[in-house]
Amino acid sequence: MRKKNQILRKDIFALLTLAFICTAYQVRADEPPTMINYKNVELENIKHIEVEVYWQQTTVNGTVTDNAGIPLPGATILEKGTTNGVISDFDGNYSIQVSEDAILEVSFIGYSTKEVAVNGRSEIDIVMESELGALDEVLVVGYGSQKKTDVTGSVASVSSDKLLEQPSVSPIEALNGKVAGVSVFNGSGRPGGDFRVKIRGSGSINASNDPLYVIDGFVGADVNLINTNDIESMSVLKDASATAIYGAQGANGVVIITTKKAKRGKLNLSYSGSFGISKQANKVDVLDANQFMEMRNRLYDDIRKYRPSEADNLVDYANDYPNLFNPDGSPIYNTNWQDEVLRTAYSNRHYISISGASDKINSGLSIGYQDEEGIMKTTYLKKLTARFFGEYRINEAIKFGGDFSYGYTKQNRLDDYRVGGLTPTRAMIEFPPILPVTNSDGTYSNSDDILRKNGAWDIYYGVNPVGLLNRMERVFLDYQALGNFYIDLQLSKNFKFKTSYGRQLRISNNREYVDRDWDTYVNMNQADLGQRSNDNQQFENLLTYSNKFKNHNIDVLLGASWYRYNTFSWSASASNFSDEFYQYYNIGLGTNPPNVGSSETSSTLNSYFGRLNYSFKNKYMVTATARYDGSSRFGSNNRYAMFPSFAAAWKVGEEEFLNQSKVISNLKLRASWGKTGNNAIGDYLAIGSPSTQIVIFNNDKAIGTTQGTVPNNDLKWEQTAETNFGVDVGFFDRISLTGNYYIRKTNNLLFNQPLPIFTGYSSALTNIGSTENKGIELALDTKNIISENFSWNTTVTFSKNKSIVKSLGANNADLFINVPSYFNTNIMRVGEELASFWGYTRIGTWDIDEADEAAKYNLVPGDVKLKDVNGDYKYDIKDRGIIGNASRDYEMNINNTLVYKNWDLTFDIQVSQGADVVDASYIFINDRYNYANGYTKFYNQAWTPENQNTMRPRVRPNLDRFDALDSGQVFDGSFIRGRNIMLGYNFNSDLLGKLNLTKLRLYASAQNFFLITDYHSFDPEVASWGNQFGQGIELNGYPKAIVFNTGLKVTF
Amino acid sequence: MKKITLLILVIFSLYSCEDYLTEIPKSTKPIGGINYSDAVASVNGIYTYLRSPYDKRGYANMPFSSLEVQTGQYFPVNFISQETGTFLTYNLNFTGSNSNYQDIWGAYYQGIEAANIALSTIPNINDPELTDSEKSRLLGEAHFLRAYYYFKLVQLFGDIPIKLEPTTSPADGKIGKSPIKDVYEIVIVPDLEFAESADIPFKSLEGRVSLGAIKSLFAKVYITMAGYPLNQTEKFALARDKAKEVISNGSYSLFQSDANLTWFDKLNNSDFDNREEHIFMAQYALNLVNSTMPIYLAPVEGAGKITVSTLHFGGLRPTQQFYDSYAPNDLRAQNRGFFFDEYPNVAGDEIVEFERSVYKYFDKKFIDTAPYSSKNQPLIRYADILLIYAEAQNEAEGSPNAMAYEAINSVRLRAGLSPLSNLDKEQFKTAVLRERAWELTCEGQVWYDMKRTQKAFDGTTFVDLIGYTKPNGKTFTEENIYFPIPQSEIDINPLLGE
Repeated sequence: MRKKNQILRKDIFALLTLAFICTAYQVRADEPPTMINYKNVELENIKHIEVEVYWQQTTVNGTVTDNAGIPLPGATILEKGTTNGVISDFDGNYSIQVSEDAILEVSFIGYSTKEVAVNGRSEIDIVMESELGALDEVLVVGYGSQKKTDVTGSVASVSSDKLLEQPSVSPIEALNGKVAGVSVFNGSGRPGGDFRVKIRGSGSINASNDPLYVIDGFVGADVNLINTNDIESMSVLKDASATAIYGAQGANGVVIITTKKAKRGKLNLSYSGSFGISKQANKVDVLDANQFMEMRNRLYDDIRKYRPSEADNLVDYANDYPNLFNPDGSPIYNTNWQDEVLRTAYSNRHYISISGASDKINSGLSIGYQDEEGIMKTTYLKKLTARFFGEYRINEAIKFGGDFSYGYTKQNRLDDYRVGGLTPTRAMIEFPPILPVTNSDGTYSNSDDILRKNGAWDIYYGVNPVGLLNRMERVFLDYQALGNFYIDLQLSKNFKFKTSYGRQLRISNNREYVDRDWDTYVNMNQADLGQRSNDNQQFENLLTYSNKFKNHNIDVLLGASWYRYNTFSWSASASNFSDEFYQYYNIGLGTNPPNVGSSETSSTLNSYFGRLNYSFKNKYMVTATARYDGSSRFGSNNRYAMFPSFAAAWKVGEEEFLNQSKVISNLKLRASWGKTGNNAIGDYLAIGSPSTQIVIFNNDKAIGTTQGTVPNNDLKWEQTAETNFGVDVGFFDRISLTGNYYIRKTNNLLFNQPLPIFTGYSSALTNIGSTENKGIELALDTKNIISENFSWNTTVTFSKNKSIVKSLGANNADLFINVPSYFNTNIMRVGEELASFWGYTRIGTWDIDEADEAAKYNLVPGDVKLKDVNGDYKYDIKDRGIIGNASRDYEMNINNTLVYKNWDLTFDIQVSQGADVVDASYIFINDRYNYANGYTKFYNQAWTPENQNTMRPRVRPNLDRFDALDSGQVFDGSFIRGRNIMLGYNFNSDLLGKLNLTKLRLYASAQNFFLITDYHSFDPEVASWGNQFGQGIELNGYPKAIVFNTGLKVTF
Repeated sequence: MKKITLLILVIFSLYSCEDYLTEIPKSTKPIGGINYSDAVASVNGIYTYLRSPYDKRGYANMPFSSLEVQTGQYFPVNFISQETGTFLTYNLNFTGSNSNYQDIWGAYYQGIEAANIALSTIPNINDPELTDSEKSRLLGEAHFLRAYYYFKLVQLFGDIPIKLEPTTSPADGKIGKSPIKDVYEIVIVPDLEFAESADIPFKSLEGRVSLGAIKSLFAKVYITMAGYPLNQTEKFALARDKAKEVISNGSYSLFQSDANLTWFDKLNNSDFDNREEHIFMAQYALNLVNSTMPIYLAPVEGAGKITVSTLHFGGLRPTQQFYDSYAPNDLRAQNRGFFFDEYPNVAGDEIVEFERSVYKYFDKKFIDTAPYSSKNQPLIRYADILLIYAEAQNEAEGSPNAMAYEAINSVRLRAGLSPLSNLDKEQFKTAVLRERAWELTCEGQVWYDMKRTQKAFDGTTFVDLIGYTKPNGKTFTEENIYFPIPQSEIDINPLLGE
């Protein structure tokens, strides 16, 4: 009755070529039914292979899912009593030819085998019951998916529901706090934030510490240009056993984003939208106009006392500036610059999607739009995303599919322009309250308005923050188009082959214009344009084999991939436009000759990889992976490297002695070891190249070349070896706990080894040095109350990580890091935390009776007293040490979900302990008072003869020194944040039926709804500079808002 | 299984792997170069570092200031209070962490490496366009520039590492210091001899190395070798001869006042750069590579008034002691000579007064383009060479000859001073050194004179450098002769600390 036909004789090479050049291929069927019949194409040197499929009288289609509706790929569907069977595909879909009265026997590891009678039906969806109860879920892992209970490595997954608990501009924002071991740091309150993600700490010093993002199989896509609503799940691969399959780029962990696919049934059309209001979360207390004048008077007294030569220049405020002061000397104006700069901001978001699936087609379309105003005037972010996906089943063996997504963001970002100099965020704190926003003639007030008798500014070398916001524009535009096309072949019952080609085009644009009056330094209007285009391609081939016999279960994956990355950039800038009209729209009109530039870089990566999963009796499992990677970035001697990993797990809970336990419902022990690599450095660094210089001859430009980078043909992969021990344990079926302990050791650091500058180079990229990250992660999930009408669920994640420098360069010499334009703020020192803060120790202030001792340092009472470590009466490099670091000692997130009938309430609390913050602003406004307004808190603590026991200096004009930090400038940045609270209501289905709706949900939420911290400025989670280790150094960042949202989600 | 094996084989052999992983940069050329323009570019690049010490960085960091504030002639203005390096030098506290010393050290050694690359690669370039004459010119320029950088470094830092080959691996950073004598005899003198015999014209209006500059630098090198610490007094004669060659050639002349412009307004005028008196300069051009000396020295009280820039740094001001040392009739000390204390505002309807500031770099064109300027930085001036001739001739022959008198008197007459005559050797020597202090002030030259002569000008006469107390009360010690090698260099290469 069953006939075996050889229906496909196809040429694999031709098929592969098809993916790129759309060549037809040949299908030969011996007898009907034939679904497709292409013209013959004969190619030379073709290797033929046979693919077997089975035909029966009736076709049954369907999807195999678990009881949560998550598709189960790889489930076996057998016609009972025969050897006729198929395996469900990646989306759980299957199709089998059986006799009309057959019985389907469906099995999947970890699930009870199920028998279903066909009874003439052609569509049967099968829901599998887990053997282990509700703890079971499927995790997406590298190049595939696995049941969570079978996973040997350290993998965590966040579902769509969790990601959508709060509105987010970027999926990273949504991931924040959801996974133990993933530290999401948001350094800015600007729309879209400034996120830094670290998985299990930082291992690299000069290469990147960012994780690898994989979107639907495309490696290295830009996660910010995806709409969170489009995401089905985010999987975070943490240990080397999980990431080694991405060997080359896996060292910093991998975040795999799987987008939504259509489910069978009727078309799914849904809309969700929300409206938000953002306000300044907390005000920073700075001096008001009267306090400010009191401060100026104290300052003037100090100048007269200690700097008599300057006394003649001081301002007689009331007499010199009657426009600003009353005759009695009191200030006329009292401007609160925070109120002038900040506003109540509104945002709205819309997302609409439609999708549907049949046995032939699975397809969908979605569009999302977000418009987010920043609480700082004139700042905004707009984001548009669109996505289309389709999968087309040609026959039982062949599927074509692909997706295309488009992302666009536009923002006006004003807070990080020339950080260190003049930023509106800085001016909002430091600009004097005694000046009005605008003068009577309509011009913006600025520091020229109060001058000392020698012409120098009395207060501030800056201009009005409101003027800044209105007179400059920094627009950043980002476009991403990402397309992926694949062919999926079920070669036989056990073998599957998938070939895919993806391409990402990303264009990032900056358009900047600074008004003539804005910049006291340049005194010219200036326009800047720039564009960077990334064109990245990926070609990937996967062959999988899975089989089960008796107690043995085997899955094998083999893959090969090729990647090509290309970046092309250009920039143009011009200044001194005769007219403010043109801005950056007609840059050729700048009277100073435009400065233009362009550059191009490319790199390639070639990889071969494989994985073996084997389990015995569903109790003992091992995983082995290997990836062989070659990168064009490395020296010709060391391009390829092998990244292996091994992992084993033992489901102790399945053993007889625990099987019947009422207490322990689940117990699994895991151990893994693996090696991963990092090649996140610039292109061509191994080759060495000259740098280009502009030199002048005859008053004109000539090109010169000088040393650029030192060639290093031995440059090779940075390698991270990681050992992980994990346990998954469940109690009473209500409490589950996942714990991991890991040690990551990074060797052959891609390290800019400092060279003595007499070599002509300040550093050379070499593979020297090592770092170590050690940590624990705990994820606890408890079902506190489960009842018919009420449930309460708590999830706690906890992570603790320490990153230590183990060796550096040839002689372990300290390496210093500084934020731009300052002295060295951070140090890499063997045995210490990466990028620790470095400087003097402040022990207080000099008392009056210590005046003689202070004089030995050229200081006077009220000046800052630093620790003179070697007692030589000089403060220099020998007196400096480690004074803190920006890493968190631990972080914890507590998420509670309460459901009562149709109501649900979720709240998220974040705890961050032990990170230090350097407030550079404090240095400029409270360690000296000549230039700006100051924080009230420290002004009140300032040294006076009556208040000598203080860490804060007297009100004095200048710093004693400006060559390093001191510990008085480092603050505790620990905090507890109410990250999100949401109340939702789901309408009853009977009401919905009347409205012809499937689902309707309304919700209201508040983000950043409280913040408990000792830190004196807006928020201790700050980074004013973008460099890798600039975290925790602030010079007045963009304040974070408290955001109120209301929204709805409706499914038709 | 056969078919599966085949499938895998097909996949795994799609590309030839090594070819796939070979990427050739398109925006940069390989190091070393292959043709004529690469050779020219590699020599052009060496010039980059001539200007480095005179470029303001950060807010108000000016490495150049560390060549003036210890002389007693200048003091730093309080306005730049974040700039501790200058103040430490001013207080004769020479520390290894001073960023100004690091900047000078780094710039000149980078120039040396650029020269090493050019010198090692140009001989291997085979391009018909690169004629023997061109090759000779380019190599000559490279040798001169390398000598210039080593000469500055050895004067400022004393014993320093000698490195004459390009760096090819990090291990090349592991060398120690060489004695001062070796730096002169192994590097500077041979490099200048090479440059002198190269195919280079005597004068360059475009600002390249000229034979005039080579011989001038040679004169400066010899007169320095004749002084402290080598004390090779026989070199005075060689210095005299080199200076004389420059003078007799007739290509250079002192700026003189005329009906339109005073000679001071020619000296600070970018229209006169690379001409007449300027033998060698660091080159700038407006908005291509801007010079920052004018804004750094512009008086702070005149900000937004005497130029369009609202931010002047007013970095250095002359000390009263030094200013008072000028004779009352010395034009150089009069307003808008080398200094000024008032100037019309930009609109021209008001005179703005301020404390005495440096006028030597106050280019008129800069008034409208501030903070940017195209003013070149003088590195070797004809007046300097005239005075070297006078000094060297007197030392070599025991008394001044007529040409020596003519040399110093031409400088004095231009300044409105009376000519000298009938001086003995010592009197003449003192007169020349005093003239150098007055004439070459704020050009980064005086500190080198103090070091080679071990004398300091206290406003009236010359006293021993060690033990000399500056106007700010700080006294020179043995530790103030050389800048320490930057601590950061020693940290990386401990051999430099030995």
